[in-house]
Amino acid sequence: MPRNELELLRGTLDVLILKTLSWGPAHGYAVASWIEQVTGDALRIEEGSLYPALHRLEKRGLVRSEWGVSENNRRARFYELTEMGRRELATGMSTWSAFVEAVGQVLNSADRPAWAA
Amino acid sequence: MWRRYLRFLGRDIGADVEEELRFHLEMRERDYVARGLDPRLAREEAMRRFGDVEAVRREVEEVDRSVYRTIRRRDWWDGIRQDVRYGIRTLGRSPGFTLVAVLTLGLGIGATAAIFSIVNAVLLKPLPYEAPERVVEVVNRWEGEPEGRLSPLEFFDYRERLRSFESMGAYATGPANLTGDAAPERLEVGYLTDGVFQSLRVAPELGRTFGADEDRPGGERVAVLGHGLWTRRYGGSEQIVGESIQINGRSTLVIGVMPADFRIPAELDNGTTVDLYMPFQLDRTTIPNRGSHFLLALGRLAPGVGPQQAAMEIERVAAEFVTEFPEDYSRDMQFGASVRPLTEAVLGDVRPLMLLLAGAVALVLLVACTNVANLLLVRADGRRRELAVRSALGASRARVTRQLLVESLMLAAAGGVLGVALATAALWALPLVQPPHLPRLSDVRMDWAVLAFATGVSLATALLFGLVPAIQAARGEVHPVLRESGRTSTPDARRSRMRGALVVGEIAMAVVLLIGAGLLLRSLIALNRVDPGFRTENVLTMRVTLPSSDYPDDDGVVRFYRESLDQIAALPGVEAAGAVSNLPLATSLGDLNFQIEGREVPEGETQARADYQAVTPDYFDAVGMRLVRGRGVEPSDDENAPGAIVLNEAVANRYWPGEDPIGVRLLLGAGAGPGWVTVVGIVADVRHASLTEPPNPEMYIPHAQFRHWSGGEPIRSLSFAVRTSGDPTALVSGVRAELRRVDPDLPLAEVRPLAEIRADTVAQPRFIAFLLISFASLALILAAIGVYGTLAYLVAQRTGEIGVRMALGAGASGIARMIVGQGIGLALVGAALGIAAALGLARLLEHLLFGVATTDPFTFIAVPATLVVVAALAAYLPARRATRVDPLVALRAD
Repeated sequence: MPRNELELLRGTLDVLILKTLSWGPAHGYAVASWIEQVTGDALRIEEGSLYPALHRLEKRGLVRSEWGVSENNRRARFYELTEMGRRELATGMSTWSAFVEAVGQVLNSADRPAWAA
Repeated sequence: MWRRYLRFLGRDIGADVEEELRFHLEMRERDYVARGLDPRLAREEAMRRFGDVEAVRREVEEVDRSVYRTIRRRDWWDGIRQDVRYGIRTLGRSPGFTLVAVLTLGLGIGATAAIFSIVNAVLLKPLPYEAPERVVEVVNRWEGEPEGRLSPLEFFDYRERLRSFESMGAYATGPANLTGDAAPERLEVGYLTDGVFQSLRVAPELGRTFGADEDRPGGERVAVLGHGLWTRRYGGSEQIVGESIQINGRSTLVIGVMPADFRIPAELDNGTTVDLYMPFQLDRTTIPNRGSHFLLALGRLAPGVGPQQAAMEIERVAAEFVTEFPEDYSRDMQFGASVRPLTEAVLGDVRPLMLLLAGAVALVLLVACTNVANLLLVRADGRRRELAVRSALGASRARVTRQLLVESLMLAAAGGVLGVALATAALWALPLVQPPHLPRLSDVRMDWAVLAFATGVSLATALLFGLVPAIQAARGEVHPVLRESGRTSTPDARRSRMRGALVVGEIAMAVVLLIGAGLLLRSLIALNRVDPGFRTENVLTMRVTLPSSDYPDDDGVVRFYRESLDQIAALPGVEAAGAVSNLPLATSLGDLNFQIEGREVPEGETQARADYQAVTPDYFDAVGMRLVRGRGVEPSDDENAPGAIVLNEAVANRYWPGEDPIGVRLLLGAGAGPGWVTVVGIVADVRHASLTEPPNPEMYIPHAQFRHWSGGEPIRSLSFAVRTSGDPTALVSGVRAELRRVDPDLPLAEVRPLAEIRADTVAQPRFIAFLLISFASLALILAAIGVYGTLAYLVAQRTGEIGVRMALGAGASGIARMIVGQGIGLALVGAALGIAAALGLARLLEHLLFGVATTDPFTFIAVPATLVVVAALAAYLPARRATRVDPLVALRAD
């Protein structure tokens, strides 16, 4: 994967993780599975990259983690959105929407630029 | 919020990460298996989807570790903040202790910082020249004079012959009058040859300096202004460079201005301030003999040449002089020359003084630290239960120790702030105690170096006084303390021994300081009792220099002094008015060879020699010198009368032991003058050079006859001495007015009472004695506080025991005696140690003492005795409290 694409993804991945956790506490595998399930094969990410992202979010205080017991009775690390994380998600979502809208306007525009008229 | 996670984060970050990732991989593998994949393939597929497991593990671990570090740091600071808050509370709860501790530290640190700022400015900062260690002073040497000046011919010859120097220059200072652009002002001028600026290598702040072009006979008259004169008289205007000013009535071109910290070595050495620098323009053709030594010389060593090498070379050249000019260098003159590093020449004298002050103030600081350590120990005992409770509640020993160190640091910080404030105040007040001349003393100020030093000292003191109690607390025995039934605990023997040792040490250091102060004080008293041979009270003095432009010949000069002295003598309240070439205790004298009529001078031996002065009639009366035989200088000893001379007793006793020299004729200056002079009187000796040195042989030549032997050149610069019936300073305006009537353009300099000149000569011993007495008093007070604190604590601890004793019939006076006896016991041990130390250290004072031995029995007995009395008084207060113990109350408390 080219580097700048990775950088773009990292920010996007953060928002995806926060969005996933907004449904409730989950362990890393659950987060990965859910993202995969929702996006299908459209976003192909290496699952490993999820974990540094989770821990960085924790370092920034956007999520917190706690060891708990998984659905199959295994010890697992559960992540939970903090209040700060909730706010960050809201900001991230509106930024993302604005970005998508802006890109969409350009791509869908029927007007030609002046120099191409 | 982080504290909650600390436990598992702290457990093992690596294992946690490992487990988390393994969980993920196993879950994925299970999913694949559940979808029907072969277990082995499922595992491979799970790994593939995950990516580089090892890299992820490392990255996650790194993130977690940094989180952990942040948490630890934040926790640590939280702990410190807690400690500080807790410390403020506990210190606030015992304001008496806190106040005494902070005050003690503040005084100790303040004194240390103030002395450091002086030592730093005077001694430690490099001299304001480029690579000052390469600059050396060049001195001649002859019988009785290890650091003689150079004559011009000697200087020229040295400069030509010496190879060890890259450049060499000579200089002298002298007065000159600045007139024209504002009120007339008398300046001190530095006359520098080419090579002085070049050797010191200091760039001017404005314009340029001068070199060989101007420094030659008949060269252009130029001047470089000193920074002080430039700002004072010309308002720091850059326009002045290129203008002409009137120096001694002659137009002189200003070519530059020197920076504020520039000083020629003589300024550093003897405290004169040179206002401007001019080329010397010495003419070697008009200076026939090599005998008039008035030049100071310096040079910059050539690359790769050391001072020793230069000294050997100059010694060789000096030996050449002796063989080449035998008529100028007699055998018993033992002529030689040497060089010494400029830093040594300028600062060598003050170094022992600075070290003495530094040592004394270090003792004060130690006493202060000891005192606070003692107070803390006493307090720590009172807090043992509190600390034990904290330990029992889960505070680790490290935590308790840290708490105590934080408290010590807080005390030290408060003491440091107070100390810097006190030091600033002390530096501000420094001029008020009239310190002696010390090189660069005017540069002393509170600067970053001093602040950094004070901070370092505060930290060091915190460790010094805080460590002992902290360590004791750290190894504190928790359970025994808690099991104790309260305050009846018998004092721990080790702790009380420690406190006793601290008090004894404190007292010993105080004794050392007190003995030093006592010796200096005795010496100062002896100095003030010295009879200098003249009477200082009610005499006003001032100096006048007549410019050669307005007074070209001897007649005018003589007429001016005669007229002005007549006018001044007629002022109401004036008892006598005279003038002299050099006032005693203020200046040094030149000496002069003379021949005695009828006596042969053996080949190769020095002729008779004595210091000389030019005096006007009435000078002896004005300063109160005593006439022994014959007559003084009279108005009739004028320029037309036959030559007369007055000798002091030292001359008479040296050359005419048991005889009367009156009527004998002398040939002055080895016959340089035109004729013989007759001895007309003998006056009592005057201590001219200093109060401590025995008087030199001195002869007094009537001012009006000076040209008889000087070849017509008059002495233009004389000091007036005016004896009055009352306060001499009240006369200043009257004298000034009379002089202005005679010559309106003439500036007066050094207007001051004669008593002040004498006081100035003891300025240094007075200053040192003042400082040491201050330090010693401080140490004495601190030691008294130490004794008081320790005994007060002991009494409090032993209330039960005292109660038992009283119940068993011990009287109040017996109890009091026991307590006071303990105080005196501590004081005696401390005093004995202090005396022993002082006997060793007093030798360092030897060169500072006058008229008192370093083992002066009076000081060595009186000082410790005083201290024991003070200790007994300090012990009396707790002793009295002990006698008030009610046996019933004391026993019931058990």
